[in-house]
Amino acid sequence: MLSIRNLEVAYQDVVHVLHGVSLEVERGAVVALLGPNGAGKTTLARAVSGLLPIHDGSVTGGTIAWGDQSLLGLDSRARSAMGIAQVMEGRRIFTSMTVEENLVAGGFTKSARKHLRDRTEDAYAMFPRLAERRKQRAGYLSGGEQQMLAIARALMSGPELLILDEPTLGLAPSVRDYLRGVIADVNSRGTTVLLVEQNADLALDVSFYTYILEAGRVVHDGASSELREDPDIQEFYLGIHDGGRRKMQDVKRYRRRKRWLS
Amino acid sequence: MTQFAELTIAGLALGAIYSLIAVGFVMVYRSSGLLNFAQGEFATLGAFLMTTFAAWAVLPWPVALLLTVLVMMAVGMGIERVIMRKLLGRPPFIGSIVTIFVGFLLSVAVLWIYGSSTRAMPTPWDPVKIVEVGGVEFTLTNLVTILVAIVLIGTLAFVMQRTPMGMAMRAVADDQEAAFALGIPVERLLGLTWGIAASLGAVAGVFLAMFPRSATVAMGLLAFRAFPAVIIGGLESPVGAIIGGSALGLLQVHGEYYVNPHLGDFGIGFHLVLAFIVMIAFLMIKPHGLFGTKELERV
Ligand SMILES: Nc1ncnc2c1ncn2[C@@H]1O[C@H](COP(=O)(O)OP(=O)(O)OP(=O)(O)O)[C@@H](O)[C@H]1O
Ligand SMILES: [Mg+2]
Repeated sequence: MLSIRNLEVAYQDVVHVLHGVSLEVERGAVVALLGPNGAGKTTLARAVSGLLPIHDGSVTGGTIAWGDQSLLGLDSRARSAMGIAQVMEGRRIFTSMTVEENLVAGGFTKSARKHLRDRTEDAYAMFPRLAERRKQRAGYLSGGEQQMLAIARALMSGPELLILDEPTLGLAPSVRDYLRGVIADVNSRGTTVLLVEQNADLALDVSFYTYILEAGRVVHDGASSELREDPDIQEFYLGIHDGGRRKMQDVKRYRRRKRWLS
Repeated sequence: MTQFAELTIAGLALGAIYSLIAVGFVMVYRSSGLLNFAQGEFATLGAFLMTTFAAWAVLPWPVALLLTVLVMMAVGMGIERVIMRKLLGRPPFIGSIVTIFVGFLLSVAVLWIYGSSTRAMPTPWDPVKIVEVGGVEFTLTNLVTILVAIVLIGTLAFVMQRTPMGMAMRAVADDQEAAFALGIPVERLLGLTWGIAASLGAVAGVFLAMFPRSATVAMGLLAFRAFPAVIIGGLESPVGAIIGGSALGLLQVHGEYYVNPHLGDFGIGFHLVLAFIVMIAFLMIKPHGLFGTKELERV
């Protein structure tokens, strides 16, 4: 289980981004982290996967543990060895390398090297589109294919926890639906998933439990099926509302947030 | 025609040396965005180490060269570990400036160990021995230089293109953060890159010291003449480095023979300037080099 308690993160020691976030991801679950731009979702993902130091960020308070082991102080390589993998926002595939080379790079960690062949085959079985393009330069793939590659590449290390940071951003609805299936598929094979999203519809649909992060704080959380019925969530995150109220969104959200906080 | 062929071989030999230096330069640039101004000093230190190892009568020449390569690999990795790693995540220009001081330290180390005198570079073959093929004459040294460069760069290309480690190194060069996120040992691979750059530089230094037949502390500057090769080829392209290096060697040797005499007194040493003229022309016409990409603008 991933358990985060009262997590505080700051960049350059002065830009405080997370203000006491607590969150739990049970083993085998799909948990979504939903929130608007700049809420701190990516920051939380970095704190778990160990990428904060690269951004001159650090955990200034609270704890992060995977099972009974604290992750604080471990570098990204140690966390990867513990079974934590992250698909970064924006896909970030190695554009100058072929599809297959991307997968090999993803399986370069010590424990993964001996599974290289099996897992490459698994990846191609899961994403036939990638198999067809295995010798192509990854930079020439479509956005959806690049996202598939980013996920396949992260799976090469055989992770127990997969963090997906906005995997559907900028993709066509049909691709989004496909990826929704991929996430369910990955999860059904035993991988725990923490899904960071702005797209509430997808997040609530694919996850068991959802946290809503705004301005560095968890303002709401609950079973995804329940949140889906919540009128406020419907209004502010699912966009289900009467035509005229849309422009009021920001005002409303502000008021709403106040209520959640109290 | 014979004359042209002979000059071409001499030019390719000089070009092979430039290519070795340029490939090392490009590897560091690609993997960490740094302009490594210490690359020339790797050549100097390597050449002096080789004079020491080759002078040990017990060591056959190829073994001495291998030992030089290994020691320089350790030197390069050490520099990454002790100095450059501290600068990871900082803007590349800071690291680039630090390499100037690293180069300075290396040249001070050479002066301290070897003094300011020159040292003969021993060779197992007669260095002025002329080989003749179909009427074309060239020195054995030229031939060995070209062959060693081909073997080294060929091996490196194989490792980079075909092995998982090479792919991981290219991954680090492509997107460092993504490599971190995948648990790739980024720092260790960056260290390896520095080690390779240093040993390529060292081999270049060894052969560079065979042309005037001695290793001198000024060799770092000689090696700096390889810089136009990198500009011509494109900062992030190893293939460009080889083509740029070869072009540079040919330009210098042919230029010295065909251009200098026509310029009278002005022509003395003009072939050395020629390379920089071509470099500036490239900067104006094709600023990313023959094989460069626009990505350079990010830096
Ligand atoms: N390296 C950094 N240095 C300083 N501040 C940063 C850094 N990275 C992010 N921030 C700030 O932290 C806050 C949260 O950013 P973060 O990227 O975590 O948000 P997010 O929820 O992922 O947003 P988005 O949906 O746009 O991806 C923002 O205000 C951002 O400006
Ligand atoms: Mg984000």
